[in-house]
Amino acid sequence: MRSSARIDVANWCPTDIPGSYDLAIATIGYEDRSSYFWRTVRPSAASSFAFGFAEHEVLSFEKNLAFYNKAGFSVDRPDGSQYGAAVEAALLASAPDKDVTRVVIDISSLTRDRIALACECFGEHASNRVVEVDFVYYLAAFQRPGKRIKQNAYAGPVLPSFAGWWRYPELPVAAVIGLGYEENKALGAVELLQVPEAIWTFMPESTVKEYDAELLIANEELLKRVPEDHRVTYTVEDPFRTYKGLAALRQSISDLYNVVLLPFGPKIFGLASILVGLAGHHTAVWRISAGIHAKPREAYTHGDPFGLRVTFRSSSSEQPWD
Amino acid sequence: MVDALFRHHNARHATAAEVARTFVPPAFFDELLEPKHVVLVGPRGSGKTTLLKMLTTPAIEAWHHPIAAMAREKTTYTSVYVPSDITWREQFLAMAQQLGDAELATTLARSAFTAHLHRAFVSSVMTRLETYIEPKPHGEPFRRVPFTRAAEESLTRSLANAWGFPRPAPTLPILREMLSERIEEIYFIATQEKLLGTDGRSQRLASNRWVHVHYLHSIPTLIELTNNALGEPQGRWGFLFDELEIAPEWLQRELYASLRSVDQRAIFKLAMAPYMPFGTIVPEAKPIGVQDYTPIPLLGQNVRNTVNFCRAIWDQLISDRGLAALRPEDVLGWSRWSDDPDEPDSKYIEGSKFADQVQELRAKDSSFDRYIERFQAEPSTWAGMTERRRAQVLRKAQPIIYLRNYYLRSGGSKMPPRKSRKAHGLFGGFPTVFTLTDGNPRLIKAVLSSLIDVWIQTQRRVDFSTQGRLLKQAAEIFKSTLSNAVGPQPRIRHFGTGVVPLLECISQFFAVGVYGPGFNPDPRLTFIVDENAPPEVAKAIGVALNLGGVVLVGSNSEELFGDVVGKRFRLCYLIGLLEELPTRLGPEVKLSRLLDGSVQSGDSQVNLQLGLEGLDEE
Repeated sequence: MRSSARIDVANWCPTDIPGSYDLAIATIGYEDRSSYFWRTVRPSAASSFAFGFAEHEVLSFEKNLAFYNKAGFSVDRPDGSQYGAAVEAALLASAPDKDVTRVVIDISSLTRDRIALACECFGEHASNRVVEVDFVYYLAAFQRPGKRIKQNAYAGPVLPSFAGWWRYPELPVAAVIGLGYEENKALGAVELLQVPEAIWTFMPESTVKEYDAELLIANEELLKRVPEDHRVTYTVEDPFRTYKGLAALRQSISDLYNVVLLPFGPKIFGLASILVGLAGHHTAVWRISAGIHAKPREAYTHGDPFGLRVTFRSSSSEQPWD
Repeated sequence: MVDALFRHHNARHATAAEVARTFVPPAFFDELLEPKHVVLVGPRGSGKTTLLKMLTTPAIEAWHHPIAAMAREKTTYTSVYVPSDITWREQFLAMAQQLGDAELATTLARSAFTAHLHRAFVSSVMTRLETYIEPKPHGEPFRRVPFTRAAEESLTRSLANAWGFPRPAPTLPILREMLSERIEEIYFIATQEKLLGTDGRSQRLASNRWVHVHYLHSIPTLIELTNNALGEPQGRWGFLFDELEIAPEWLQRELYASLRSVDQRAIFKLAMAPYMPFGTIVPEAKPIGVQDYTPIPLLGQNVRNTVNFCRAIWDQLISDRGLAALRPEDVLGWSRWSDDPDEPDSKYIEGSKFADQVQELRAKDSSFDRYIERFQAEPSTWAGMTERRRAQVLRKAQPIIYLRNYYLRSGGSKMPPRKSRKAHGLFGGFPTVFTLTDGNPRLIKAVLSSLIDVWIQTQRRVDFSTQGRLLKQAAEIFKSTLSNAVGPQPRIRHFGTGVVPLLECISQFFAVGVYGPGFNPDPRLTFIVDENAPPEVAKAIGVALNLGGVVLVGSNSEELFGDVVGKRFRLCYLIGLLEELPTRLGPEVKLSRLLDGSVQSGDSQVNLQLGLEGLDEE
């Protein structure tokens, strides 16, 4: 039961920032990078909101909170699914008399379920007016991954609306995995889903070269199962290309498999997966999480921001050429 | 190498012919074939899917084996294989969350499952009809039926009508596709209901008669119609429901309760993992094991069955590689604590290899020396010992003597594990390697394949050190799959949180009993999940049980599945291997006491545990 909005996607970079947004959505996380964009780029917006998590208020959290308060953001700390309601309220309050609502949201420190909630809100809002959203992302400066494997507490759809629905339930599941550097996490997902062969991996490649070796170590066991022609390398800084590649792969294998997207690794890949998932209810997007035992770690930005500009339109506002 | 451990041998999406090609029948296979209700209970990888798929018509046709003819004779029913999938359990749960109406969600989910079952049924009918089967199969034609197009059209018309389709289907494949459209339709009904809300919902749903067709209630009709069409009025149908542990809970409960069914034409065979806390079923609806169904546990078989099963798989792996017959004893050698046929009846005499072990251990382990003295069991006295005394004082203690002698340094402390070549050397040989697999086909195939491949490369017996190293590598990979499992996260003292720290804590407790300062001939090696064990811990044991990390011990058929509280378990031998634990049972300890540290595994309780109190200390 997914939003039926139609989306147009393009790459975004800082030169695309308009004179003013209608709505800015920030995150009060424990990472230094969660407020970096707002501290340094300072985009102008008619209304600005900063949402926290109501948990893990450690590390750079206080510093970020102080910044948002000082910078005039409306600050809230909704828990769980309340995030969707908070984004929806912010959307409803912004630019009610405009045909297009322009939104900027930094997803660098946002969880995957919150990214999905935000996308769902934008999609639903699009039934009334077009929503143009700039999703901003910063790479994190390299840190070695933690050594101890954490028990996973949750594995399932990123949101109920991303559970997918199989027309042919007996078809095998294909796992399309964005690789991250948490050891064997992707392998655990594949084991859980019992995917024997139909595995495709998306290996991130970025200007932070230290990640490369760690990714190979963390996914060594999984990669032994993945044939060379099922391994895709993507450039993190080119999310549009990633999105197109992911969408094309999903399209090409969906006659043979029930497709589950498992976006580990950079959040921008998570966003690309969620956008692909939005396009049809025959695809599931899952997340695997260690829950409250996931230990907060500091993260600083690396390089310039990049992202995606996504325009959400009502599915009934089809263009004549569609 | 063993990295193939979790890459192969998943029968889930293998074709029936592929499954048949490598199928090795376990001891209980003919029981499974019987036209009776069966509950197959085993963890992930224990072969449930393979076994169920082997009951299907294409697999039986394709199977070449000395007992294949007997299997064909016994399979007097047509099997309908109905898989489960964790993704659609999540889809059903998600539907309930989005609708906010559990009853409606269950109705729609059940309706989707009904269409899924009907699709599986149609596919099974097609495996009987010559129209849809290759004219020259590789195997033995089995229960094939000639069928005219007119007869097929008549059957599909009546099935379509029974299932509430407004139009007939000319062929079975088209009927199957119409059922898929129905599954799709359910998604749109759910979407519509989410948007429209509860106003007028009952009327809207009532207008869709087919939504309310219950898969269980539909079975007699579809059997009746199909039997009539096939000209087999008494034809029986085996419904094989696989992997119920990942099915929604309502489905688990309904199918389990349906084992009380008395319709002779419908046989249910359910495959499930042992940890199935699907809630209580009222006593009058609860089936009774043995009386209503045959329970078949896939792990925890006796050692002889495990070894025989492994040997059959061994022979097949050898044959698959085009090698001449090769015995595991020749490739692996005899394990050090087995009854080596080279040393018949001579273990318990002065001067035997075992006597040497005893004397060596006495020299470096004063607690063992006291034990021998206490029971006056010096090798020089063995010739005059009664059989009973020998069994109680020596035979039971034998593996512990070997282990302590091998792993203890002089002075009694254990040498650091996994650091020296020696640390790999005791767990090898036949039949120890077989026993360590617990009879789990996935482990058996992975471990034995690796060992055979080493033999092919070197063309000589695989030394114990290599065997031990490969086994420990398999154990580490197995442990990492447990680490990645989704499960509860109990905090286990300094071990960490989750399933693996829990098993590590239990292993270490047992290891202290085996290698601790006081020699204990029968240390604790099993545990009971008692009422005082925290619920999160009990759930974590359940998760480990379903993945094969722990094994149920000595339960009757009523206790093979369900909750874990009150039941007795041991660690799977491969996990135990990481702490060099012996492959045997031992007395139990309450899990809550083990975890809170109120009982010490190294406690000297020789008399209590061995039942030696009746023996004189002489």
